[in-house]
Amino acid sequence: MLKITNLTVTAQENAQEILKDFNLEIKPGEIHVLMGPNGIGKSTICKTIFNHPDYEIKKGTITYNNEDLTQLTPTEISRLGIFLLNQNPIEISGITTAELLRNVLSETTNSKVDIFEFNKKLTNICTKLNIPKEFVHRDINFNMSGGEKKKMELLQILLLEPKFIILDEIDSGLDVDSTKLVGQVLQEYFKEKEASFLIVTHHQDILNYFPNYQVHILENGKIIKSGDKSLSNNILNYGFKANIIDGSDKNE
Amino acid sequence: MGLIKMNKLILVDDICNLKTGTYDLTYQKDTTLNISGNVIISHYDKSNCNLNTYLTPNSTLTFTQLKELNQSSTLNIKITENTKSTYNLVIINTGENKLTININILSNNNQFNINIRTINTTKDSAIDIICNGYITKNTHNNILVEDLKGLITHEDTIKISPNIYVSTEDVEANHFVTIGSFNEEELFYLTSKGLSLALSKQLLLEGFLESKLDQNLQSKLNREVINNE
Repeated sequence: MLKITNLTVTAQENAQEILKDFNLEIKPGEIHVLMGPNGIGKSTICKTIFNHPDYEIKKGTITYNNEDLTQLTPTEISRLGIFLLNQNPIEISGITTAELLRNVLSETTNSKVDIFEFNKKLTNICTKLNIPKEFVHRDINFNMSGGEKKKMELLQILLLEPKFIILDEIDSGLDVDSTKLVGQVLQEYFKEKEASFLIVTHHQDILNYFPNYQVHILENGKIIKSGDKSLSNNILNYGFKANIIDGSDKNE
Repeated sequence: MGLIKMNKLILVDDICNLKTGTYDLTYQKDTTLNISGNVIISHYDKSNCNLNTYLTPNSTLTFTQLKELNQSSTLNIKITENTKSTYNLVIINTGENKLTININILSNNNQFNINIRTINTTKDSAIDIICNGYITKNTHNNILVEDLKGLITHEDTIKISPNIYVSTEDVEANHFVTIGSFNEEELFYLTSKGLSLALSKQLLLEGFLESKLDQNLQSKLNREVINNE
């Protein structure tokens, strides 16, 4: 499904190398988790998959179902069924979430959206996510808390139904109840849609809702250790350093 | 801005006294408006005539204008005492034109905000906006805010000069000016959700302009004229 091979990426701003010979393969229905200290390139991977203009690919390939993503625009990448949930969803003045989604559906299906059906679907999703209905008619993420913004992004996932989802710290800014709700919704989506996930997180809570996943620790722009779900438990118990230096799982 | 029932008003005289009410205004020659009470004006302007507004003491005014500028024009505003006013001007410019706005605060206890959003319709167009705010001597407790934004859509030219002339110590006067093209992060956000680049720009452009228009004027925004293609 998604295959990243020998990827080296620099920042456009200062030519600093952020990823170096990075490799990752995610097959259909798999969940992979990226963990590591702040500022080591986890978000860079997420954005580079979407060809973000702040980053330049110096070397390597990113393919999705054998399509070379490095040659595609963000629009084209999204239309392959890939969704990026940003760590800090931005606010956009003058465009409502409903307007955005209606236009996305209209353009991608090349037909007029049935407003009645569209609104009905949005209302149901709002209820499911415990979001006030009026939020979808508000400018994108405008005057919303960090947790509310993450829920609004999740709303987009439920409406657009992507097959590959990149979650960059979806759990940051969520309170206990919201984390539980978001975890349950993602769990249900994973089961129903058999989607694949690339998850960046610093916490275990959201991962508890997934049956199996692979964990990767990043350092110096590449994956230095991979393991099953026990690795994320070890990281949370003993920290990154202990897991990296030791080279073995603490509970082995 | 909600949908408000408006009084349609076609001005024929040079001077018009407007009292408390909501007006959808039309005029075809240079005009002076005397404002008293609580007045809301919505004005779709294609004539580019000069306009003078005079706020009498204790009045409030919300003046929203969609202006299709195709020749240079002037707006003069005189403010007396204990007034509160907001001017929202959305200017769609074609050609090389200058818009001069003179705000004269003549007495005390006034709060004045002006918000301008402007674009050019063609690559060859250039707009020059000069916004002069004068706070006269021996006045007190006045607030003046100029929030002026231009969006470059065709490699066209926008010049905005926010001038504040202050002759008193007791005043709060600020200006904010932004001229730039589409925000890269906003474009990335929208396109990464599946919108085409062209539609993303169009929605951002419409949002930029509509944010300062009431519903009456939003419906008059000429989508073909502002089409970013």
